[in-house]
Amino acid sequence: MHVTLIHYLILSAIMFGIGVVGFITRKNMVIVLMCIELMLNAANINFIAFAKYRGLYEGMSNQLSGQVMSLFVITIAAAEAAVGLAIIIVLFRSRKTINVDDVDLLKH
Amino acid sequence: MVGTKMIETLHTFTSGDFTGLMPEIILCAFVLLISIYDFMSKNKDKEIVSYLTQIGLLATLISVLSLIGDTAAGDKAYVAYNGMFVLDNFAIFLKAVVLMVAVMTVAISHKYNKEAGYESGEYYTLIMFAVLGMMIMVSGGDLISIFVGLELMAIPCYFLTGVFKKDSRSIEAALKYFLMGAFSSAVLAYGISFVYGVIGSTNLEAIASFFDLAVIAKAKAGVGMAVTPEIMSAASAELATRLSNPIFYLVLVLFAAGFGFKIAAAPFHMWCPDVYEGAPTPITGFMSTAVKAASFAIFLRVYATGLFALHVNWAFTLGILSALTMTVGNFLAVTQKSVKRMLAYSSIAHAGYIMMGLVSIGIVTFDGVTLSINRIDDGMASVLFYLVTYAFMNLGPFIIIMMLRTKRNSGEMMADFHGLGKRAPILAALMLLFMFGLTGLPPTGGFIAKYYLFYAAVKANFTWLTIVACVNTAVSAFYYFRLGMVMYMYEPKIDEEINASPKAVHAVLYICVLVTLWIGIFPDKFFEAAKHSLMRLKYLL
Repeated sequence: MHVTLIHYLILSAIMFGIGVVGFITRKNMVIVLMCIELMLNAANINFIAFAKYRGLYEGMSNQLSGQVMSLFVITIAAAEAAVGLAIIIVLFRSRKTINVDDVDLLKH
Repeated sequence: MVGTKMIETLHTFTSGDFTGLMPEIILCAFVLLISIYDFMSKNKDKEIVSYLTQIGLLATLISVLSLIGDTAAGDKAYVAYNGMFVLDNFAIFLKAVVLMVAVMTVAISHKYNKEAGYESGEYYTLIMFAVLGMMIMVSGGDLISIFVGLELMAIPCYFLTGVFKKDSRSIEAALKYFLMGAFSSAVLAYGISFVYGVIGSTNLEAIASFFDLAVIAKAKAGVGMAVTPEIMSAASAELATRLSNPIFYLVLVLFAAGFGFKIAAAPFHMWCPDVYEGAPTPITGFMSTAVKAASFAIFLRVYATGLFALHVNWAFTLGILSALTMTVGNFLAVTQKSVKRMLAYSSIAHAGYIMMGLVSIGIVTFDGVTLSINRIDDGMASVLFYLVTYAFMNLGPFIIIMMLRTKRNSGEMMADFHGLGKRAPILAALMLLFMFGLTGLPPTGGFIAKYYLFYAAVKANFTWLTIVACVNTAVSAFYYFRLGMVMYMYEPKIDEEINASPKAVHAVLYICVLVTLWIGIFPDKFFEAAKHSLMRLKYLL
């Protein structure tokens, strides 16, 4: 099968969907964090796929910016993971749980 | 072939690339030096770090202000790094506001943190990093730099929310803020990827010219060829297909969600009350003013430049979101027992008001041939004007909440305000003044700011939205004045003496009062400044 742009887009849409659904339904904070990473990586796949196919078929001079953006998104995802894990550790120390539902001290 | 093209477009640095970035460079140098100093010094008391941070922020502020008269930043905006960084008067205006708020936040923080037992040097460096992020963000001429700046602002803010790391409420707020913030950034990144996919660039100028009839016609005619009427009509047809591209609906939904989370617009506001309540009070003030101003700034920049041509598609949706946001904010604020939480809901409501200015930045019509964009300058200026007014009149109440904290009472609850008119007459009077401002009553700046917003919305044919906003203002008067009633007509519930606050806190409080009144009595200069800075918005259509 010949892989075209639309296949990448479908893949990224599925990843993004899994991320959103997981973010909303999962209770374990670490899994929620992984779902956010999935969403960010879905954006990355989009950027790379668009950069490649626009460059190949249309001769756009600007196909670099998609690749650059994906590098930035990777960096930001790493920073966010670090921050998220740090917050989860602090939370676990004080509450002995990382279940999202148990974190309800502030009233809704 | 592709390779050579890539190399041709690469940009080489010149010394000119750094002149407009001087404020950022100065701030960055200060952050690094202060964090090194903080690690080296054995001093547990962070007062010196706090002073150094204030000096750094003030130095940055001076260097920002020194750029105003610069020709590079005057009529012709300064653009560097392939359009990634834009220094126009709009950016200077917002940088100045953000830096002023940051200086005030740092000035009031030291004693508050010390009494809570969480003195740390990171607190100050994180504030500076957040400010750096905001400065890059408001200068972003490209969705890449806007996104990176946004994250540089957001990540320190997650930490700052949870900086009281043994206080479970602070950690919980940090967690909620982090989850919602990271989620919204991912949504925004996904939206940007589609913009890039359709347009082929993330630069705001390129996005704007994607919808420019003249540019399309020129591209169709080829290099050096005249544009014939046939080509013109072909270009019109091309523009029509571009405008109705369904991908843009997806992009607008993703952008509205991504930006909506940052500014706490309904239905993406759920994190806001919890985070504002749990965060340390100075940080709550900082987030509800500086962070909000910077987020609205990029909202305005992206929508008033690149996506202005799609105004028909987004204006009505954002108008509904705006009505929803102010209604949700005001009605939920009524029942709150915590003043801090009430102010959080009030800040949601104010986000709704400001969005009203955002939708009324112009009227765009496409008659099948040409796209006509009628800008309403007052609409755009009213957003900026509201942001600067709101920054000062919303920081004030949080400072008063901070000052009311005693050994046994948090100062955040309604009970702390019972009979405040007797316990601390001056604080009560000032709180009442800020409540007047937030309601939108003269002689405070809140009145003028709201007036301009309503005026712009009527001008942009959003009369229904103005009516919703008027009803909402009446509802908001109820809970703002209830606080006044509690302060003056109830007997004090708390017999504890109010602690004396440092001079810096008093000074900052009085600055907030003066600016709120000053804007209210002499609004012309401020409004002209706001309007002037918008006229120079780079890539403005």
